[in-house]
Amino acid sequence: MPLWRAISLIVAAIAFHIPWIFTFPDLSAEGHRVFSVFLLAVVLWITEAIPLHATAVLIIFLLILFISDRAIIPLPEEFAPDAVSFGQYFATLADPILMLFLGGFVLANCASKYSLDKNLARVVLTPFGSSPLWIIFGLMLVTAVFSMFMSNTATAATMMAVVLPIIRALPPGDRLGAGIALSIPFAANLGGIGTPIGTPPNAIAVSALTEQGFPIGFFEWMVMMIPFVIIIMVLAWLFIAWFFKSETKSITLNIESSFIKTPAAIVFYITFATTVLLWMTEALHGMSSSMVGFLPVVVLVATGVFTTKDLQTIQWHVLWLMAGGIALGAGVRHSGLDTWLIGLVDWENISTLLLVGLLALIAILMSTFISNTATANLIVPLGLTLAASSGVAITPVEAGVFIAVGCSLAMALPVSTPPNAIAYSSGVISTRNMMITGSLIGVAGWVIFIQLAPHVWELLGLMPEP
Amino acid sequence: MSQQILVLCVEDEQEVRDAIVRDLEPFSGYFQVEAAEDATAAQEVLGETLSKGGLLGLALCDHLLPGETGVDFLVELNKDSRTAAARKVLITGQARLEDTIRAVNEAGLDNYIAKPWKREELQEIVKKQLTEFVLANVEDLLPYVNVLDGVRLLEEVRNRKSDT
Amino acid sequence: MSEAPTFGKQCVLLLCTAEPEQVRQAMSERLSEAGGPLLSVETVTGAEELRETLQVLEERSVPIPLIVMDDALEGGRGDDILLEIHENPRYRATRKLLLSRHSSLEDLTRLLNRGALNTRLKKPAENEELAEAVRKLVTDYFLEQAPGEVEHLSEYFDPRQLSHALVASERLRRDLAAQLRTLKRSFLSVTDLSDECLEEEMIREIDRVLDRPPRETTPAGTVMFREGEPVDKIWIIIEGKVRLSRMAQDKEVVMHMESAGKIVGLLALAQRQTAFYTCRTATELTALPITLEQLDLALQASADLSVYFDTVLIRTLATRVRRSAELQVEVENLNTALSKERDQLAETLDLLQRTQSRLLETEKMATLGLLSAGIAHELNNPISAILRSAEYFAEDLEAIHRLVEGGEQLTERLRAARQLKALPTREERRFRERLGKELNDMALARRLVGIGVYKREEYEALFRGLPAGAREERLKLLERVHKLGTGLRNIHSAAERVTNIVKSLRSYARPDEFSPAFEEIHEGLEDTLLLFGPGLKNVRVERRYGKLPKVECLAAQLNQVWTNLISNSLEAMGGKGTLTIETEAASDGQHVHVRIIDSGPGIPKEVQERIFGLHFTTKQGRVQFGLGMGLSICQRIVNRHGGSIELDSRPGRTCFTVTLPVRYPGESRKKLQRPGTPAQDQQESKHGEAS
Repeated sequence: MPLWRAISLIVAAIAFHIPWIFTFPDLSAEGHRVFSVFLLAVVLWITEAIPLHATAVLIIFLLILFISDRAIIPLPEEFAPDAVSFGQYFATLADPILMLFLGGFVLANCASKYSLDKNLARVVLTPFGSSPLWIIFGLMLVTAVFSMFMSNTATAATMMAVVLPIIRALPPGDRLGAGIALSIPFAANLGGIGTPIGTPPNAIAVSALTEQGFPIGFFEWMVMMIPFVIIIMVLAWLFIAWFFKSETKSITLNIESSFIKTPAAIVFYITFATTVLLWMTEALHGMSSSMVGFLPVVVLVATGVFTTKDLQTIQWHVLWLMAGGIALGAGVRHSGLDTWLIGLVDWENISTLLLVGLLALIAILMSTFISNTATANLIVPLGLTLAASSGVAITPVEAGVFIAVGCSLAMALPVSTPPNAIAYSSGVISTRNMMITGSLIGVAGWVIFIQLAPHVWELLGLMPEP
Repeated sequence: MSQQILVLCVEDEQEVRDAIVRDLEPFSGYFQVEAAEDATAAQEVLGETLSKGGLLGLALCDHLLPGETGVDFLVELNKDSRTAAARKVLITGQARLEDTIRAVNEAGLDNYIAKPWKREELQEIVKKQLTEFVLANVEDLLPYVNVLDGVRLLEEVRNRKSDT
Repeated sequence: MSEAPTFGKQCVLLLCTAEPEQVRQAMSERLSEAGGPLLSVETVTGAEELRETLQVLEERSVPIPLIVMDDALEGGRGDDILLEIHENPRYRATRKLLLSRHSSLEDLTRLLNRGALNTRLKKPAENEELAEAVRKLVTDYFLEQAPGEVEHLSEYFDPRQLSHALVASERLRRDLAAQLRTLKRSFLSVTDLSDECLEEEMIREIDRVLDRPPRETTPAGTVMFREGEPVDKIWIIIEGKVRLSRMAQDKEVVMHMESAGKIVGLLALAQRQTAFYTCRTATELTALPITLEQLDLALQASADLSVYFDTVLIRTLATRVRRSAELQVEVENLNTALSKERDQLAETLDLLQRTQSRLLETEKMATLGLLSAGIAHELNNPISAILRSAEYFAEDLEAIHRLVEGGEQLTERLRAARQLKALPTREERRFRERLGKELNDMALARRLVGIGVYKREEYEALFRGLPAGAREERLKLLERVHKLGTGLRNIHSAAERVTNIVKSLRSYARPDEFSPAFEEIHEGLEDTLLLFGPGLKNVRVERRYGKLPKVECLAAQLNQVWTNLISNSLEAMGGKGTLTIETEAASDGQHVHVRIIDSGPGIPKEVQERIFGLHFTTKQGRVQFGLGMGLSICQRIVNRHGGSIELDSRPGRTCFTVTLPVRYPGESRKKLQRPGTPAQDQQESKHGEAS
C-alpha cells in the first residue's frame, strides 16, 4: 500500500473518532454520530484513499449502523422514536433522481452502441464549413448539447476521438490544435450545467431541493440554466479563438456519417426522441422527469435493444456515489448537524451577493481538486440549510443551483474533471494553457451567474416560493 | 503512469538492434524500451521488470539468435502466465515457414515483419500492437492517447470513464 | 381387406381414364380380353365417379383385383387418387397400375414408397404391353389372395407364373420327410454310377417320361444363348462340346469347355431365366432341349429322373466349381507376376527421376555460381559508394563542428561514438543502474549511457561550467551527435560485411575457372565458412590451420567439397556444437590434409560403407544453396584432383579427412570440364546405377 494511502486512511480513522471522543455543545447525540461519518467522508472523498463510490457505500452502511432505527449502538431514548428506518438509507440507492440518471445512462450507452453520438456530431458539424473559428464553435455547440444528455466524460471522449485526427494532421506547434482540444472539455463541462442529468452535482442539488420542498422540473432547470450556458460558451469560444489564433485557415473534418438502420437501432432512436420530448414537456403531462427517465430503461430492456451484457456497462459506481451523497445529506439534515455547523458562523451580516459568491466559490475551489460529485455531496446539504435559516438573504434554490454550477465551472486543471483529463491526454495542451483558459472561463462564469442569474430568474418568475 | 510497460527488442546484431531501438524512440517516453542481444539477456531484463511489478507489453524478436531461437523465446513467453498477454512480433529475414507457423500456433504470434523493414511500417505495427495491449491490460488509457492509436483508446475511454 | 375372391364370383377391374370415348372403349375391350371371364371391366372417367363406383362395389362386396389409373383424370391427378385409394385398407391388396406420360421421380417415389404403385406404364401404352402387365398383376393378386383356386385359372392367366405357383404349392403338399428318404436312398444308389451311365439313365428316363422329345443338332460355332438374355430351357448334351463364356471388359472370356458338363442352361434355371454365360457350340452338337415346363412335368412324373437329374446336376456344378477355383488360382499367379513387373518398373522410374533431379541440381549449381558471381560484381559499386560517402560524411561533420562554439567537444563525442564498441545489453543496463543511483535520476542515466557516458565523473566533466538550464540543451545536442557517430559506425560495419560476403561469393563460385591454379586452401575454407552465415550462429568454429603450401586445384570445385562436408557436419550436429577445421601439410611435402571434424552423434557403421554411394544423403532431399549434392560428388571432385576422402566416425567425433596432392594430376587435366555439365553427370549416374 502506498504511503500516502496509508496516511489518508489513518487520518480518516482519526477524523471519524473525533466526535466520539469530544462532545460539542449544542450538538445532539445523533448529530455527533453523523458528524463523525461526515468527517470521514470529507477525508476519504478528498484523498480518494478508497474509490469514491466505496466511500459512498461506506457512508450508507455507517449511517445505518449508527443512526437508523436498527442502530447497533442504540441512540439515546429521546431520539429513538424519531429514528429513520434503515430501509430509507438503503432506498437512497434507488432515489428517484438516480432513476433519472439511470435512464440517461441507458440512453447514452445505447447512443454509443449505435454510434448515434458520433454520427449526429458529424451531421451537426457539416454546416460549419472549414474555417477553424466556426469549426471550434460547431464543436463546442455539439459537445455542449450532447453533454446535457450524456455524461460530460463520455461526450468529451467521443468528441476527442472525432477531433484527434484533425489535431494530429495540423503542422507541429500549431496553436490551433490546443484550441480545438481545449474547446471540447470546456464545452462538455458547461453543457453539463444545462439539464438535471447533465452532471451528478445537478442531480444532487435537485434531489436535495425536492426533499426540502422545492421541486425543480427538467424543463424548468433547462430554462434557468441554458441562457447562461450560452453566454458563457460564446465568451469561451471567443477567448479560445483569440488566444489560440493560428495561421491555419482551413481544416477538413471527416464528417461522413453512417447511421445504423437496424430495427433495434430504430427502436432506440424513437425511444431517445420520445424520452427527450417528454422531459421537455413535463408541464404538459405532469410525469416527473424520473418517471420519464425510467421509460427508456423499461422500453429498451424489454425490447432487447439494451441487452443483459449492455447492462454491465452501466456506470453503477456513479449512481452509488450520488446515493452516498443523498444519504449523507439526509443524515446531516435529520440529525440537525447542518444547523449546528451553519450556526458556528454568524451569517446575518453577510450580503446576498457575497453569500452566493462564497458558496459558488467554495464549490469551484473544492471541485477543482476533488470530485465534482463528492463536492456537491458535502456542501449541498449545508448550503441549503444555510439558505433556509432565518435572516439569510438567499433562497435554497439559489444556494443549491449555485453550488451545482460551481462544481461544473471548475476546469482549471487536468485533474479537475475527467473531460479535462481526456483533452489533456491528446498531448497538445500544456497545463499552463489549460489553467489560464479554464480559470478565466470559470471566474467569468461565476461572475455572470451570481450577478445576473437571480435577477433574470426573478424576472422570468422562476423562483419558487418556499 | 502507474505501471511500467516493457517493450523488449531481442536482436543479436548490434547495428540492427541500434536501428530498431532508434525506430522505437517515439515510444520511449511512455514505455520502457529495452534491447537484448539474446534470449538469456532478454529473460534477465524481463525478470527485473516483472519483479518491479511491470508488465511485458511487446516482444519484438529476431528469429535466428545465438542460443535459443526467437520463436522458442516467444513460445516460452506465451507459456508463462505473466507474459502470455504480451503482444509478440517476429522481425526477421531468416525464419523458415515451419518456424513461423510454430510461432503463430504456439506463441500466438501477432505480427511478422520481414527484414529489411521500413521505419513507418515498424512504428505502425508497434503502435497497433501496443494499443491492443493497453486496451486489454491497462485500466487508465489516457496516458497513452498521445502515443498510440488515440481514437481507439478514446472510444474505449468513453465506455470506461464517467463523471465523478 | 377386400373380400376373398372365389372362383365363379365376379371381380371388377377398374379402368380410370379420361381418354375419348373410342380410345376408352378399345382399352376396355383389350383389358377384359386379358382379364378373362373372371373379370369385368368398369370404366370411370373422373375422380368423383371413381369414388361413387368404389362405394357401390364395396356395398356389393365385389373384390377389385386391379385399378388401371390414367394420370389425367377429371377432378384430380392419377397419382393423388391412387394414394387416396391406397389409404383405404380395403384396397391395399388391389393392384395398382399407373398410366402416365411423364412422371417425375419424386411423384413416382411418393407412390412407390407408400406401396401404392405396382406398375407404371408409359403412355401411350401398347395394347400388348398393357394386356401383359394386367395379366401379370391379376395373376399376382389371385395367387396372393386365393392360392387355392389357381389351378382353375391357368387357362386365363400367365402360364409361366401359374406353373411356378403350381410347382410351389405341389412341392409344399408333398410329404417332405418321405421325399427326403427317397432322395437319400436314390442318391446312395446312383452315386456309384459313372457319369456316362448316369447320363444315359437320365436321358432314357426323360425319353420315357416325355415320350422321346426331339433331338436338336447344331453346327459348330452356333450361339445357343447369350449372357443376360432370357433362356427358357435347358439342353442335355448327347454328343459334342460347348464353350461357356462371359463378357469381361468387351472381351469374351471362356470359362468352361471341358468343365461345361452335360447340362447347359443350368444357371439360367436357377437365375430367373436369364443366361449367366454365353453358350457357343464348340463342335457339332446333338442335344436334347427341354423347356422348364417339360422339366417340371418330367421331374414330377418320375422320382428316379429326379434323382438322376439332381445327381447329374450336382456333378456338373461340382466340375464347374472346381474349374472356377483353378481359374482363380491362375489369376492369382498372373497377378503376382504382374505386380512384380510393376515394382520393377516403378524402381526404374524412381531411379530415372532421381538421376534427373540430380542433373537438374548440378545444372542449378553451375547457374548459381554464374549468377552469384555476377551479383557480387554488381554489388561492389554501390557498396564502395556507401563506404566512401560515410567517410566524407564524417569529415564534413567535423568541419562543421570546427565552425561552432564548443565544436571540439562534439567532434570528440562523434569520434568516440564511431570508435565505441557496443557493450552487451546486460552491461549497459548495469552501468545505467549504477549511474542512475549515483545521480539519483534514472531517466538522465538512461540517456547518458545511451551516448556512451558510463561514469559520473565523465558526466560531470562533460557538463562542467554549464548552467543547469543549458545542460538539457547540451545533452540533446550530444545525443544527436552520438547518434550520428554510431550511425556512421553502423553504416561502416554493415557495408564492410557486405563487402566480405561479395568477396567470398566471387572467390567461392569462380564461374570463369577452367584450369587449375595454385591456391590458398585456407582462403577457400574461410569463404565457405562466411557464406554459411547464420547457419553457424550456434556453432563454435575452431580453426587449427597448419602451414600449407599453395595447392594446384580448381578452387571453386574444392569449395563445393568444403561446403558439402561442413553442411553435413552441421546437419549431423543439429546446428549446435563444435566444428573443427584442421589443416596440415603431409610429411612428404607433396600432399596436404584437410580435416572437417564435428561433435555430432557419429555415423553408424553400416551407413559409413554406403556414405559415398551415389544417392545417399542424410538430408531429406532438401536443396539449399550449394548444398545437398551428396558426398559422392565430393569424392568425385577429390578423385579428379588425385586425392582421397576418408571417414573416421564415432559418437562425439566424426572426421572427414581430405587428402590432396599439391600438384594437379596430369591425366585428369586432359579431360577437364566445367563442373556439373550434364554430359559428365550422365556418365556418373550410369555408373551409379550399375553399382
